[in-house]
Amino acid sequence: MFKSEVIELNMGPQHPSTHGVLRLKLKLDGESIVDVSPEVGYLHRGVEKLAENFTYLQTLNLTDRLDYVAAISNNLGYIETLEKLGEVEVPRKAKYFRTLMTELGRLSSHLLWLATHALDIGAMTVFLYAFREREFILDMFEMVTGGRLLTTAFRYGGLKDDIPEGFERLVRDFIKIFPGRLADYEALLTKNRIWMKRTKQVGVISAEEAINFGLSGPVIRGSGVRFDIRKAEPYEAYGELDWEMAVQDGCDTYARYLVRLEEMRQSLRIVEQALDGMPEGDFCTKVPNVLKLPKGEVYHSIEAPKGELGYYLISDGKGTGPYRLKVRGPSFVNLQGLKPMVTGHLVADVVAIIGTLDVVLGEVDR
Amino acid sequence: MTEEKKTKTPEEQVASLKEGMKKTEPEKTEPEKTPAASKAENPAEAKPKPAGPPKPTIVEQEHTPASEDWQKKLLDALGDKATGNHVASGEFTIVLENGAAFPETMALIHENGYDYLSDISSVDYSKYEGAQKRFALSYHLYSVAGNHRLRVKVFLEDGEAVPSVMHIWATADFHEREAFDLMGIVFSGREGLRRILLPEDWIGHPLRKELSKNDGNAAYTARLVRKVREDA
Amino acid sequence: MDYTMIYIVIPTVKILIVFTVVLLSVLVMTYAERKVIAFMQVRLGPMRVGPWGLLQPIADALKLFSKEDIVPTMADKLVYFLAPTLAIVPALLTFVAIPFGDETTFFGLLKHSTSMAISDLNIGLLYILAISSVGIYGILLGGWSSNSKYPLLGALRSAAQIVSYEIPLTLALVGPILLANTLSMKGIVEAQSKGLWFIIPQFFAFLVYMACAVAETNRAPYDLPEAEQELVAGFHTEYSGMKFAFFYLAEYANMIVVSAIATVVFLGGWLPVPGLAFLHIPAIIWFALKLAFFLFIFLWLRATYPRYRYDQLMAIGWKFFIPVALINIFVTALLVL
Repeated sequence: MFKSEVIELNMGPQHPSTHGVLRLKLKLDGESIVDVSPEVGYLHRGVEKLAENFTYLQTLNLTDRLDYVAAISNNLGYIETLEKLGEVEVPRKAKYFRTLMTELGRLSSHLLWLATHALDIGAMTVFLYAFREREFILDMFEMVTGGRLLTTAFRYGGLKDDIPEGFERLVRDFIKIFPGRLADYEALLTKNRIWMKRTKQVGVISAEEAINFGLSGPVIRGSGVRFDIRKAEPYEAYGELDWEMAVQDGCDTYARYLVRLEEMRQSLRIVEQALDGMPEGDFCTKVPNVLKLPKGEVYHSIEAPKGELGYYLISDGKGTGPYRLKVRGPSFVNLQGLKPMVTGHLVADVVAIIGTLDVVLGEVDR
Repeated sequence: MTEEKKTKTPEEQVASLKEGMKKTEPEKTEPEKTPAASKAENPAEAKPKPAGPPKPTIVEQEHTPASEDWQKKLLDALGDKATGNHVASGEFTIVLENGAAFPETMALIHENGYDYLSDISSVDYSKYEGAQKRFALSYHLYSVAGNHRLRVKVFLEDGEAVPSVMHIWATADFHEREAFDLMGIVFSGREGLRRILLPEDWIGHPLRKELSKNDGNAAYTARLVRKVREDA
Repeated sequence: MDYTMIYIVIPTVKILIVFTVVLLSVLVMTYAERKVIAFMQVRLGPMRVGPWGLLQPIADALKLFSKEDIVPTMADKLVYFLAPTLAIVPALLTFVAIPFGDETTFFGLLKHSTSMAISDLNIGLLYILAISSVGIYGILLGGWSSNSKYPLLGALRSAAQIVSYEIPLTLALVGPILLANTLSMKGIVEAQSKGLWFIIPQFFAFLVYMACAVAETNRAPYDLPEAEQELVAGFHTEYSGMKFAFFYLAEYANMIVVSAIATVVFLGGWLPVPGLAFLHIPAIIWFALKLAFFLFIFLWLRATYPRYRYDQLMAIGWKFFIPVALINIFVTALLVL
């Protein structure tokens, strides 16, 4: 007599809260989701093919546009990959400064995540507060690299220039005000019962499933897995500084929210230590201007704000650019976690779950 | 730059322009060029403006045999299934044969603690000196408990199908689809192998070396326009 | 002559005054919403149109007047045109029974004083609740007639939400009715003039009422039916121009209605704050101040809280607010007896 049908609902690619051009084909049974199929590729620009035609330095510019929210981590990952293949020793000062800049990038990325995640769940005010803080960080980026969002920072062997005048002042001012602002966001959200109702038990994924799905970054650390590349395979100055890994056991959206907040606190700590302990010395090793790397392959990954950002570089020894560059974008892999997380939940939760995965289409589609 | 003075076909002109771009860089920086304080990995740069096509000595990445315990342990567990292995730039690579036994071998590696598949990359070696087969797949694995990284390489010819490892690591889904989409490597034993980054009706596999970065787009757009005109 | 004066002229004058003031305050609300929320979000809000953006509501009104009237192709035309009317007319009709102040003689123009409500019905509160319930038709029919998935979902959710929250709203108001022993709005205020304002003995009823009022008007944190992030714009997605303006105004009018009810029933209407009677502020100003206070709370809630998910919203309404309101009634009844 009664027949229930599964209806197909299409979210995106243009939608107020899919954070970019992501298309989700949802199959709904009433309001609860039976199946989700993400369709990506709307932002595919062929970065890997382009890299084969560019020099190593030109490709650095391309890497900016992968995770365009925290471009500086992409730069770092790429330069480190080159340095791993070329076996170049980077001066300590450059390492500390790179760490400082990358952590600022992490802060800026997490602030944007917080802003958009809260906005999607309905807390509009946090969006504006977080962007106000982000402006400080973007000013710092602009002072060092000339670009607010797309930085093209760092060079093979170290940095492009020495640390500019006035940079330390900006960072110190920021370090002074940020803990108070972070406390503001916490006061608005962490113990807010509506926030907890919207995020607890939403988007649950167990540790084993998360590892099997290759999730990384705060997504996997919210499920209790202690996997942070900065601790597991320390690079730059992370091994020398004193900071904690942020891990929660909740396995749900609320846990991932707490992980990212804690990461922001730890990032600030790293920034302060890197600034205090900045060594003297060269900012760059002397390297040839036209870069040629040995013939071979290397895979290097760093802990980007979104997860494990990996670069697989094959050089044929004679070209001035990569023979093959594969970018392992964390959001591309994390998007696979959408299906187990979303199945069984309501449509209203899809938005929260995409927010918690912190998907940036630039590195999904490349 | 005596080459530029000869008359050339358009393709040659483009090719020489590209070479010219690469060559002007060493010219510009010659006055300030300092020999690298640390290792100079490309002796070719020390040469002044080359008269003919340069024959640089290619520096190769150093390969050493497996030395650490965990590496030896894995090699023992695999036995003769691993047809090759080496350590380079601090990374351990194992080479496997493509075939029906491939998924079992991968399952064996999974059981040995490599529960995290970071990445599957497809490589087209057709313009690479010294490559035996045309394609390769690099599986980058990581052991969360042991904190070890591993690369598994499988070499294949054009048209060979590779068994999927989606049933071992669920994350392989998107990676395999991408390898199929961009490089045209077919994965057998799995469902839902369809394009992921390019539109469903794209023809060709752009990441292959014979296709330039501009190929395919004009043809696709033309087909799209024709289709729209037919429907309208 | 007297007959005409009492039954035709005075009510007409009152109607004109009340509706003009109400529509103007709705316009002012649109401006206040943007400004107050902006200030809470560390930004300035409208600043360009007129000094400090004060002419913004006029600009908005002009814009909505002059927009193209788009009707979706497959929409049910009659219902599509009717729905906004059904939303705003009941909202405005509720103002008939709300007393804005004590008796007045219009500055001495009249021989006898007349109440400051357009019509002091002796079942005032019941009338208001009944009429405001009709407003739900506007939302439901608006969403249905648009013939599109998103508005339909939004309309269904909105309708279910409003209907569910009507019950605890009404139950919460029963407490003060018991204490005042009358349904007449004027009578309720007078009952408060003899003792405490009802917010004190009926504190829990007040809290339930406030929460339900926010849910009734589809405001944050209960604004899921309109949540942009999920449903584009809910039931009024397909509306534009004057029809959209009607829905928009109806929402603010509803806000003012529920705030007015709260003022009358819980905060003593036009009565001065105990202890500040010596300030000789006219009764209507007291009413306006209290009304403004409630409206400010609406805006404050919107700026601060995330929104509830739909099923959580319904669960709270049925499983929490109704029992609390019922318990409040029992306890009040016991104490009154």
